[in-house]
Amino acid sequence: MKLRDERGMIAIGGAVMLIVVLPLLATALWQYSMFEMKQVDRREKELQALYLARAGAEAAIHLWMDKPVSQRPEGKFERVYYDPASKGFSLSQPSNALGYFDVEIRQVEDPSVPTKRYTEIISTAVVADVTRTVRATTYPFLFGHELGWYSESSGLINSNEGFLFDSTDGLVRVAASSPIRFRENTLPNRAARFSAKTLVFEVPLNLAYRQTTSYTLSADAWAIQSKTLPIVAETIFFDDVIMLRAPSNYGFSDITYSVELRVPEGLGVPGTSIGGVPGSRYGYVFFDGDKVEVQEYRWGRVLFFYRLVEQNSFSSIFHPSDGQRLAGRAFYFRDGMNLLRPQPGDLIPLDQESTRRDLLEQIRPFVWE
Amino acid sequence: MVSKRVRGDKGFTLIEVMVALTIISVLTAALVPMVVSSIQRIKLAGQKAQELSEQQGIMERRLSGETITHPGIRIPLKMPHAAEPEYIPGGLIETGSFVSFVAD
Repeated sequence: MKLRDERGMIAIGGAVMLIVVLPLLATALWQYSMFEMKQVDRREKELQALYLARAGAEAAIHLWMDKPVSQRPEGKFERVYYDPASKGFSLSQPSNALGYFDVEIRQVEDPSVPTKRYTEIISTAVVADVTRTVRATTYPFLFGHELGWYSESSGLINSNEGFLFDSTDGLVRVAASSPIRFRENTLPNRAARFSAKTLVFEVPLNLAYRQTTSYTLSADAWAIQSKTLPIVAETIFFDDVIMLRAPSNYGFSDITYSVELRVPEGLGVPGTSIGGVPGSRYGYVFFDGDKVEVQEYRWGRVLFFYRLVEQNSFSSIFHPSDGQRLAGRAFYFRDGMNLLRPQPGDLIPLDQESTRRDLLEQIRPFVWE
Repeated sequence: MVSKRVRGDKGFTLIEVMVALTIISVLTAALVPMVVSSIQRIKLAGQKAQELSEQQGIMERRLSGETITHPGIRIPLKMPHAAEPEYIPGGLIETGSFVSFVAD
């Protein structure tokens, strides 16, 4: 009786093993296999989304780098879809889109140095239910008004009494609500020096803007002198550049408000390597605006009172060798040249599209995050 | 002595054996395909993971070397307020199911 019972127990145990445990094991294996497959599918979509996002960022970087400073885009672009069948990107959703990306270009502050900012390109791609974001960050920059070079609201250049408004290096953006110009009655040696490794003018530099002084006695009129704004940078991106010229009259001498371009010590390229003047150093200048010109003024007189009077007459500055206008072109500039009177050898033309990108990449390449 | 023990022990009846075999057969019929397909799926997932890893490596090399597989592709970028999109010329870099873009 006992033996029979034990045999029955073994049989029941074996049956339970077969009926319960084996299906459980099999189910666990099945679930694991399904999980593995899903993981791999998700990984594939994640990578698809990553590379699609990268495509969007790459396009935005290219657009940003090729644009003149004043036209650089900022904000969110419309959504772009990718259709694997046609291997094309479009703004409208195709029926079999692999996914899409949204790109945004914005400026952000460096949390460690609040005055330093970056341009950030954020591209977010979605493939099926998977989202991936890539960030490309470009160089840090400061604004010229943060360095005290000029007033942000008026564009008036500060005088440098007491200290120089030099930036040590890096990129400085010159932005203001009005064109950058001299303060009236600023002595020639009291103008700020704009100095950085790279300078980007996002507003016109208009030294002739509102420079008409009120009538003064001749003794005071003698105090009006020519002024030069020294711009010391290896690479300069200009918007419009307008200078001032008034021919001598009534015994007063010629008056000019001009720009002197200088290359910082130890920077630039030697003249011999670019067909320039041997022994000279050259920087890079991009005239991205529509104008590089001089506005004519004249000496006006009422009885014994004199002043500079604005004329509605502008003369373009031409290249001394090829005779073409400077606006819209890019050059190697010779250290110490005066933009009002460029001399042969002062400006060597360069391929601006490739150079612009190369220079920006040298400053700091876009960093993928 | 031996024959006495054999005679004394009662074995499983034919019916018991048949029932047991039936249960084993049914379970085997149900579980074996499931187990086999699961193992195949795990194998497949492993292979696919390996392929993805290789494709990712190729993709990274192509991106760093800007090795375009399909030239003449343009990406339209348009700000909401702009009248027309701007087209960024470049080429597609495609590896397996991955695709990216390099501007000219």
